[in-house]
Amino acid sequence: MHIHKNAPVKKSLRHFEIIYTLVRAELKSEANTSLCGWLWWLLDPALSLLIYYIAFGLILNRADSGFVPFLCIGIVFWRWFQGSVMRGAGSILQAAGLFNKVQTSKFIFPLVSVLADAFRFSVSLLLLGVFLAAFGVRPGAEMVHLPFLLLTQFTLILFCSTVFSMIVPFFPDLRNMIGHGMHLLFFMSGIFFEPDQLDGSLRTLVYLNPMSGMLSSMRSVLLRNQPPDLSYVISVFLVSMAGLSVATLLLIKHDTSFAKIT
Amino acid sequence: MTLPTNSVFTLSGVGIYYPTHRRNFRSDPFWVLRDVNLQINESEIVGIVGDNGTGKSTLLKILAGILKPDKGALEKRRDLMITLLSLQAGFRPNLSGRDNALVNGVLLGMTRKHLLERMDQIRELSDIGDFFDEPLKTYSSGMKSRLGFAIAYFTNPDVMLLDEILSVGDHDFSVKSRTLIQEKINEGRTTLIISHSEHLLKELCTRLIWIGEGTVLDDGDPDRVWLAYRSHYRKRIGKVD
Repeated sequence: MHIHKNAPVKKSLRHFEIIYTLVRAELKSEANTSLCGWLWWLLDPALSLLIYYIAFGLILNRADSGFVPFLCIGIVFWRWFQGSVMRGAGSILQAAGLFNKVQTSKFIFPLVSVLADAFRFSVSLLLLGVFLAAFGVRPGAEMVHLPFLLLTQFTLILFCSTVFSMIVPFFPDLRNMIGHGMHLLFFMSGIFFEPDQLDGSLRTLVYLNPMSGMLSSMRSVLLRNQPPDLSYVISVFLVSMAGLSVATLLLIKHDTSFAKIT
Repeated sequence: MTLPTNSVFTLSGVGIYYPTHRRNFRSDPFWVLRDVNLQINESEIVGIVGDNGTGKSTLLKILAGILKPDKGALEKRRDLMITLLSLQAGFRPNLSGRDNALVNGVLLGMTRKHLLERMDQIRELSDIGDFFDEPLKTYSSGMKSRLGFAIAYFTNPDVMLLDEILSVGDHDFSVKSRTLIQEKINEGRTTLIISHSEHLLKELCTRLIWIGEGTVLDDGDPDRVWLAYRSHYRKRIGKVD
């Protein structure tokens, strides 16, 4: 037997290398797709914020009431959730050409997709900061909660993406359904209104959607310098973590089923 | 259960099915391999022949860990790096040849460090000049295969699985790639080759396996097995006439 020069790379290191390389490749490839390239990571959220400012701030004339910053926070964090989960949902199906040629653990694909989106979102977040500052919003001490809120939303997104991505290859129609579900949630997540102003049962219904509570908490921290609803956020975090672990274990267990059906 | 020390793969009664096209939410299984019994030993160079659609590629995918058998048992040595040399896996049209070399190379089991150190050699071997830093979508298909081959050449797996990739590109490059891959095979690593080239199989292989009807139809000396496979084929064609 010959002496091999590159001894089998340790599994976790190999996963790390694949994830890092694929995230980089996805972002780089996206930047090369259009003429303005990476500038779109900035232009996309900037234009969508501008549209909402024109619609609500200028046309509906609510610029003074503090509604525009309220709305912007809702839009930016919601866009992260919706875009990332929808892209993540198709991630395993889209990688079929790849894992049919090379043995690759399937949990990598939703993770790569969600990480690339987290990068895109970080640009939006910087922009949101500039936007809020322009509207006179000043950060306060409660900002210390922001990293945990971001981590929680990241975990929630990864959990949803992983679960959907493992179902979509067997049931591709789910992707269409997710699209409509997201549209419904868009109006039910308190992007345009404060869920706390709703009546009892309706309020409970809206808060069953984890994004509602996340948006309320983001606003408490960013707009009012108040602590977030920590018990709510911690519950979202723990449930997402537990769900993500179960989904990942299932993916590892049924790893080779995907190459067969795609 | 422990394997005899020189066995790399041992397959007993291995079978696998694909679901056929789904109608009304039901699908019938198609057993492409039914009952495969094989032992592949270290340093063997094994050729695989058989008609199209008889499960040769599926067999290599099972050995590479891409697919899992639905019945029977597969035992493989865990301390060996087994690589199915998949040219162009993970290639993206909007990335340069250089970036694609990183993606494909990492997927083939190389580390980024290993690849970055050999990037100039990959560029040189692919022989595509300045296109190496241009997006892949500007390449001809021949240039893509050259690049794919150049990357795969720098893997050093213990067990090499080759699915009809022994020669790629135009005449000159095809001769070059074939020579290089033969050198790699002759370094003594265990190799399984799917090919339809009589010359190549007889020249390289120490053993030939004929796959058909979901099982191993013949296994042994390359000259003998090739003859059996061909005469069976001729007989079948004769029947049709």
